[in-house]
Amino acid sequence: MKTDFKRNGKIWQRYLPVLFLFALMLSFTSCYTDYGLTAADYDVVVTQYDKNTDFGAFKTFTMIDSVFHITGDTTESDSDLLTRKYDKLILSTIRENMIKYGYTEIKNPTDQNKPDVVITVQALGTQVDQYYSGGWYPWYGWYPWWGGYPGYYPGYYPPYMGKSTYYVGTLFIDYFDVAASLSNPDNAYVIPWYATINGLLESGQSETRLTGTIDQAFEQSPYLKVK
Amino acid sequence: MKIKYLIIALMFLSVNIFAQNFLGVLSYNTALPMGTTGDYISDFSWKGFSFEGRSFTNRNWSFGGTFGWNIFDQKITDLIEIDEGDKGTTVKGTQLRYVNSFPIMATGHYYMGKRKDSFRPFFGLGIGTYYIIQRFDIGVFRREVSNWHFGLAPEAGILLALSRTTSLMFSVKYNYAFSAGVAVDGSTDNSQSYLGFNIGLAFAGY
Repeated sequence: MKTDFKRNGKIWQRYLPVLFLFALMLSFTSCYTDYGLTAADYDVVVTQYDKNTDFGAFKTFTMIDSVFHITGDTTESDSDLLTRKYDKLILSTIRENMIKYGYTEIKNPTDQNKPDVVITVQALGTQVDQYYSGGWYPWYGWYPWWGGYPGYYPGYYPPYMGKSTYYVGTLFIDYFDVAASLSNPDNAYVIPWYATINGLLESGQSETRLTGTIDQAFEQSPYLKVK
Repeated sequence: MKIKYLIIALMFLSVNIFAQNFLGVLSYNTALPMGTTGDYISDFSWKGFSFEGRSFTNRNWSFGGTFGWNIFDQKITDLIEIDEGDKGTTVKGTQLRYVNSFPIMATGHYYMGKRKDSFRPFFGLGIGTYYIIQRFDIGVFRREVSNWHFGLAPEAGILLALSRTTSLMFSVKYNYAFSAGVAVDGSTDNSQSYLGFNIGLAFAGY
């Protein structure tokens, strides 16, 4: 190796590869970039509509004035994972969007005064348990779950197993075609539009996230507008 | 018998290394996603590297192998529109899209000029496999697929001598992984391709 050194002459050339390798390693701390997501980034709004429905023909609507909790148990009307705190906000935001799109609300429908559309809202809470098998090193991404002290030699510990639990809420907004449902020979309800909103529960900014995602559901469904 | 062949093979390899017929290349790789890869992720990739060994059979030809890693990722907030017959579906959410590609290839290169030239253009071809992991995150949902693809990688580049044993290498490599399995979006066309722009250091072995 001595001969090499003499031949090369310059010391920096000996260190260049090492520096190069080091720079490379620094740039690849993870194969999946963490974009620093906020709770709102985990919100998803899905809407679906039936292309054969003439939404422009609907003019009036009635809302069922409470949010149904899907509990999996018919005797339970309230889900353990969901709060009733935001029910009013959810319903009023949907109502505002319907009115903004040109619909007229019928508060007390009768047989003589039927709405064109009935809106129902259902909510589901889900608990998700996620298990991590940590590596030998308290890597950047693992650090919050790692049990040991940062000062200890990390390789000394056996791989760490961790569990994290999060709660997911799903809101279902269904838009029933009343006339089609009543005349349907199959006796089944006809839902030409629905929205499903999914996001993390109790992660902050619940009010703005709820109103924002409900607004988004209508915004991405411009065909709902009354002509 | 097998051990005998192994020893003979190792002897040849050592002879090559000590006869300065060996080139070790460490490169930093950037890449422009193309084809279906580009449809999925359009952002240029600044994350990638590769290790390569090249053994010269004569002054102009080398054969060897390479292992690399290219990372493509993008955050997208655009609407997804899905048309299925009578149903129209729209999805809004923050999407995180990732492609991790690991090429493992046998390579052959042809070099112009003489060994001691300070500027040597070369052309090469890699044949082997790409192990490709595609990941799609939206909201709390994740879909991930991984496949082994057969692949080809033609390459053109230059070696610039820094010293007797060290050279700078610049190359452009077209990476093409033939379709294998199903893509992360469910499509049966799962060919993946990208154009790599590589800068590396090549060390001649004594």
